[in-house]
Amino acid sequence: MPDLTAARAALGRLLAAGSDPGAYLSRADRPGRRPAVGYVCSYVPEEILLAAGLHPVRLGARPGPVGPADSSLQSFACSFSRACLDGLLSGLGGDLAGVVFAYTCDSLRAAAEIWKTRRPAGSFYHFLNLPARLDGPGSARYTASAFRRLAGDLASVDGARPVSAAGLAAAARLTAAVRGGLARLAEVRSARPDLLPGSAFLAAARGATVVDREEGAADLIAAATVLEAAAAGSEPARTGRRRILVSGGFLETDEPVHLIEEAGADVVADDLCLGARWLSLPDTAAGDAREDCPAGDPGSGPCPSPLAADPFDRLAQAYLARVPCPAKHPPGPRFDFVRREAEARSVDGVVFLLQKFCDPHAFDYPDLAALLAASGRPSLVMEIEQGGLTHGQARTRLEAFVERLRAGRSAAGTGCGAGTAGTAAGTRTGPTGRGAGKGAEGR
Amino acid sequence: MTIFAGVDIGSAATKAVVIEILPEGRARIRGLHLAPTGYDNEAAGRTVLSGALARAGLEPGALVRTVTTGYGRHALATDSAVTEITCHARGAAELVPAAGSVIDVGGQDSKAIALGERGRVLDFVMNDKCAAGTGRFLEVMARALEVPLDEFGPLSLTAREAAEISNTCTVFAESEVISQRAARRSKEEIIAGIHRAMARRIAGMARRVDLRAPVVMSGGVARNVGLVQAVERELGQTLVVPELAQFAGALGAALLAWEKG
Repeated sequence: MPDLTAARAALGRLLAAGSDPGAYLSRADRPGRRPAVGYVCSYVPEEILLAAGLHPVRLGARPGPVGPADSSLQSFACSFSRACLDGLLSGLGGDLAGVVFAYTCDSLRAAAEIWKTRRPAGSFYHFLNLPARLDGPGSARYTASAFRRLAGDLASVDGARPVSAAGLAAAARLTAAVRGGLARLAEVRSARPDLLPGSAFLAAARGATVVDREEGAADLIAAATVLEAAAAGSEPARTGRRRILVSGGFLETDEPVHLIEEAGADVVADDLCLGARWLSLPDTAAGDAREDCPAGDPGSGPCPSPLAADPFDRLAQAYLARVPCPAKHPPGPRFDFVRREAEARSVDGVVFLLQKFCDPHAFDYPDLAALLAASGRPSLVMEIEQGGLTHGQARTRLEAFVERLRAGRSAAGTGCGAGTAGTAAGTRTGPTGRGAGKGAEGR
Repeated sequence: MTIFAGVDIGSAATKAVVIEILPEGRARIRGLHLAPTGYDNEAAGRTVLSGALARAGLEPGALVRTVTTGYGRHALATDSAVTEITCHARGAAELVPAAGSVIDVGGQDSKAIALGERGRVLDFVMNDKCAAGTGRFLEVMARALEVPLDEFGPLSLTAREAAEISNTCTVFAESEVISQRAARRSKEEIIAGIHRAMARRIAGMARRVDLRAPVVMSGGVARNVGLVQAVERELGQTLVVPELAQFAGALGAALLAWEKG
């Protein structure tokens, strides 16, 4: 068994920070002690916050029941927006020098408007009004101007410095290092989930949006280096487990992923806001078009057009070229990404973890499920909300889904187990015997 | 003798089935037992397994393998635990060999399952966090009406018309039943209305899978003839209710104990 102590220590630090951002921010030994600015939505460019000398902290839900936000938000608002607002109202807002919201959906806009009126005096507030349509003729120009406005407004944060081109370039290198470390871990998760389970990967990703980014990059790279060496020098400890891709939003809790793992499957890929969609952000530090992108690529998916010289234009290009959130349009690049990822990671099935009341995800789900079914990959949909799952039912659904995947593979002749025994009949209710046999059915 | 057992620890009732595999490779049921689950899932599992073995005239040592299923499947240490979805599918396909799909209405949840060959699960849906469309819904209504649950089915068939129960939420529906009672609607009509409301919920869920005939209804609620007819009306198709509908999950577990060995 390889020695994973160093990797566990690094991942443990990330897990702790992601589980309780307030405690992390209050630490006297927090590196840099730079003013912390919270943000909601992965379309808020961390690069600009870092270039302003600030410490970006991604806001999400915390475990436990929702408190003060319940009296402020409408009942149809999703529990993610409710929990983000609740965290701010319950004390985290006081640990932050300010909060940046982005236009994602109406629920988060409502949470932003409420926070705007209830934030502590002097707390920085910015609403980043981003386009919903990403491929319009003016989308990139509009996004770049919104980014410039954010950079300008951040000058009012106590302790911030002006955002310069050199600052943005350094920030881009740092965020690329964080995402690069996570991308390496994502590879380990896919190749060797026995060494890095999907739940541990997501905990690391969550922590990476909270910790000081230099500290985070160092921990991610250290963990990836140890795990890659361990993977190269050992054989998988588990075999025969089904491979699952999870799709959804921020996923404020790892509980569903733990349940999938307990049910006998591995989460080896994702289509999550906190995971692969965020990691798909092209590297703006590279300075030019990526070598693996074909010449003349129109700028879709992970292949941006040759990068603009202006750093804000370049940043806008990158954010429009990443795998889009379901709240953005058009959805095609995301569908293509999920299909490709499922194929590349040899995924057996997909679990959709839909935030209750999240219309954008719900609208995309039927088409995405049909697309996966067409390629022979069954899917399961589960609604999740802050406050946890109904354990018994969630466990039954996930276990039944994994059993179905096992039986499917068995029936297709690629495994062993049910479906190969001899005839079974003759109970006292009178059925007659039937021939045994394998049959490749499925969707 | 080759003996296997399945134990289905449901939220309301726990069932056990003991089967013997005959030399020609067929399964024969040797013993059945059913008991209320109560608070202690493990104790309930032990009780029904002992009961089914006693009815079969067998000692526990005769068992080659046992599989548990149902809501409390992890409470009883056996050879393995399999979900009630897989077990009901396998059991229903055994009881009705041509079965194309299963509607299982249990104490705390309901499911619809599309079947492949030998009861393999092709697809399934399950009710969400809500109690509507489950046995618990009927239990709450029985208490509100002061009618034993066993009489619900026959009573509802004597109603001239069904009272309108518009709510599918158990809590609100109970209030509605109390209002109907205050308006002096007969118990028969109210029960028929309850069945119709529940059937709409079940049918709405079941239509989300490829519900191929023959459709088998399993689970304890399948004993309620009034509800079965109401679901048939909503779906526009006949349901097959095997004599051992309530034991389908335990039977499936016993068969899987044999086949997966």
